[in-house]
Amino acid sequence: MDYKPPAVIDNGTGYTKMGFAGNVEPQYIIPTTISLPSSSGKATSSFVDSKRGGVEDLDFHIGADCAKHTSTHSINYPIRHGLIENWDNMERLWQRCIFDSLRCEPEEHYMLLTEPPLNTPENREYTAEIMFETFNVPGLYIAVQAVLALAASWTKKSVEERTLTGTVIDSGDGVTHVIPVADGYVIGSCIKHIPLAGRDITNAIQKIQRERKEPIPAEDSLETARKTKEMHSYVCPDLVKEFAKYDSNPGKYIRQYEGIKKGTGRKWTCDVGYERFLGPEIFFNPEIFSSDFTIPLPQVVDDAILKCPIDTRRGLYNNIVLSGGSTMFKDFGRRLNRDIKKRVDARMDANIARLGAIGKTANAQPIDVNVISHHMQRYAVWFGGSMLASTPEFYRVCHTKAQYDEEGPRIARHNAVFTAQM
Amino acid sequence: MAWAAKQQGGGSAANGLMHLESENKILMEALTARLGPSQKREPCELKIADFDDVLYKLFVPPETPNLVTLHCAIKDWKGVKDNGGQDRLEETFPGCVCTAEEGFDVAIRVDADNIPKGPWGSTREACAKQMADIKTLLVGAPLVKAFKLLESGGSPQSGITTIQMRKPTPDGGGEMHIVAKADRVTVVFAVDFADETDKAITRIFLQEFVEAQRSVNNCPPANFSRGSEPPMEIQSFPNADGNPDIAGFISFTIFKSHVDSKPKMLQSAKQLVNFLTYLQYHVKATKTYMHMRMRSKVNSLLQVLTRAQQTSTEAKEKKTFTGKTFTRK
Repeated sequence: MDYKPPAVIDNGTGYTKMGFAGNVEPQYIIPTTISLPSSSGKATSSFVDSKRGGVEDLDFHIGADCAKHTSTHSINYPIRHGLIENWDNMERLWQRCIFDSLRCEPEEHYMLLTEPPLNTPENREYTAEIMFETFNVPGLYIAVQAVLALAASWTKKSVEERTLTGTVIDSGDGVTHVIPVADGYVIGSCIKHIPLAGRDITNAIQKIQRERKEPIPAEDSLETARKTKEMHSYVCPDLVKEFAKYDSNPGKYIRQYEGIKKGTGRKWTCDVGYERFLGPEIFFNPEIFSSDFTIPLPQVVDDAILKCPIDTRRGLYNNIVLSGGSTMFKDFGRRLNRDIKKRVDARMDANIARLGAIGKTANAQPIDVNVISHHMQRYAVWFGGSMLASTPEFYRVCHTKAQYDEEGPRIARHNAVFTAQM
Repeated sequence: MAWAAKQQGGGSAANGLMHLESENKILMEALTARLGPSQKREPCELKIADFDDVLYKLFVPPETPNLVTLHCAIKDWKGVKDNGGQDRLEETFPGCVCTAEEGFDVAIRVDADNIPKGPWGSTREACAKQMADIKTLLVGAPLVKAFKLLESGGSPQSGITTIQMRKPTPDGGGEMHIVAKADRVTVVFAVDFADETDKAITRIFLQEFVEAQRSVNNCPPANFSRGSEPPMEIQSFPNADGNPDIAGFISFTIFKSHVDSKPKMLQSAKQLVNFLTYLQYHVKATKTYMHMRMRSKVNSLLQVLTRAQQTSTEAKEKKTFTGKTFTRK
C-alpha cells in the first residue's frame, strides 16, 4: 500500500479522540474546545475586519491548552450535541489536530471522521469540502459513531458472527443514547435519549458523601466523587440484598479513600460505602435521584427495540453493545442483560397465556438477549474506526480526492458501504 | 496573514503559534511513560507516522517492559546515512543501535532501568526528548556535518549533497541540496505541492517570506526563485537543473556566524530540517484563513440581500377573527 496508516479522528461533543489506525487506543484525547483572542472571538465579522499583517490567523489554542490562556482568549465549543456548529472553528481545530498533535502529512493519510446518527447531509458536505479543499486528503470516510461502536465489539466474536445489526448504548459524560442499527443503517426514528450519564452519577455520589458528612475538603468534593465513581463503583444485582451485605459485614465492603488537601498538603481519608453501588444504580432506578426522568435504562432499551421494524428485533436484542466511559462499571452488562431478558420473557409468557385463553397454541422461540461488554468499551467508537480503517476494504469505501474533483462535495452524501444510490 | 519571517540560525523561536515543534508529541508522551518508573510501564506496539514520510514503531514487549525499541523509517535513509547520519546516530545513542525490522531503516533500543549516557545527558526526560526528535537528529546530520566543517574552517570537498526530504509530487521537488563552500553553506530546497492552489500559495508565501526575512537582523539571507530558474549554486550540477512545473526553489545561505556555537548550529539544522513542514503547515493555515474570509463574506452578502428585500409600507386592511376590519399602518 502506497499510503501510510489512515488517521482516525472522532470528534465528540466533549472530547476529540484521535490517532493512527491500527493502534488499540487513541493517541490523543483532548477536549473539543478552541480558544480565540477575546477581542475577535465575539463575532466573525469583526474578526475579518480586524487589522491584517500579524499572525492573528494562528492565534488560537485547542484542547487542554485553552485553559492556560483564559486571560487573553475566550473558549468556544465548536460541537454542540454532537453536531458541528461553527465551521470556522472546526476547520482550525482540525488544522491543529492534524499538524500539531498527530503530525501527519494530510496529503498522504486517508482520513476517517465520525458523525453522530442523524447528521445532516449538508454537514457531511461541509466536512468533505474542508478535508479535500484545505487539507487535500487523498481519501475520506465519514462513519456513523454507533456503527463504529458495533464494529468495535467484533473482537469478541468469530468472523461469521460479525454483523452490523445491534443496539448501541452509548453513555458518555453528558447524555446516554440508545441507538438501534440494522445492517449498518441507523433506525433514526427509534433512537432514544436519556438525560442521565456520567456527570449525573458523579453528582449523585457527591450528594451521598455530603449528606453522610464525610470529612472531604469542599474544593476536593467533586474530584473525590469522580474518583470514587471510577475506582470503586460497580453495579449490584439486588439493591436490598446489597444493603444487607454492607450492614452485616461493613469491614469487607466499605473502602477507604485517601486524599491530600491542596494547599496545606495535609492527608485526609473518608469512607466509601453505599455510594459504590448506588451511583451506577441511577441507570436502573433513576427515581432515586431524579424526579424529571424516571424510566430505567432496561425499559428504555426495550421500548426502543419494540419501536423498530419487527424483522429486525431479534437481531437487535441479540446484540446489545455498550460504548462510552459510563458503561464501564463492573457487572453493568450483566445487570442490563438480566433486566431486559426479564421484561422480554414476561411479555412473551403473557402473550402465550393470552393466546391460550382464546384456545390457540403458540410455539414461540425464546428471544436471545445478549449484552456485549468488551475491553475497548471506553473508546469503542475510536477503536472501531481504527479497526475498520486498517482493513484493505477501507480503501474501497473511501471517497477519494479524484472523485471529489470530479463530482464535488455531494459525494459525501453517498456511502459506499451501502448500495443505496445517490 | 501568516507571512512572517522565521528567524534562522541565531534567532530564537519568537512565537510558539507559528512554529510546530520538531519532536513528535505522541512519541514523546509514550516514551516518557515507558522510560519512567517501572510500575507505570506498559507494553505496547505503537505505529505512527510523522511529516516527511517518516514512520515510527515503538515496541515494548510484555515480557521485558524495560526494553524500549524505537524503529524509524526515513524517506532517504541511504542519502542521510552516507552523509553522517549513521555516525551521528551512533554518537548520540552509543551502544543502543540495533537492527531495524523489515520496512524500517533505523532502530535504537534503550533499557529504561539503565538509561544510557549521551551528548544530551543521562536523564529520562532528556532521553525521551532526544528519541522523539530522532528525525531532526538523523536528517539534520548532513547539515551538521557541513556546518562543522564551516565552523572549523576546513576546506569542503567541492560538490553537492542532495537529500530527498519529502516524497516528490508528480512534478518532482522535495529535495534539499547542500552546497558547501569555504565561507558559507547554501541550502536549497526544491519546493512543490501536488495541488495547483497550494503551488500558487507557496509561491506568494515564499516571496513574502524572503521579503520579511530581509527585515530581520542577523538571519541568513534567503532567496526565492521560480522553478524554471534554479539558483546559481546548483545550476552546474546534474539532477538539479530547473523544473518549470514545481513551485520554486528557496535557498538559505548560512555563514560562519550562524553556526559558531553548538546550540546555534543544532538550532540552525533543526529549523532547516523542519522548513518544508513549516511551509506545509502555513500553506494549509492560509487556506483555512481564506475559507474563513469566504464564509464571512457570504454571510455579509446574505445580510445585504435580506436588507434589500422590499417591505411594503402601504396601509393594509385586515380582518380580525370576529369579523371587525381595521387598517394596519
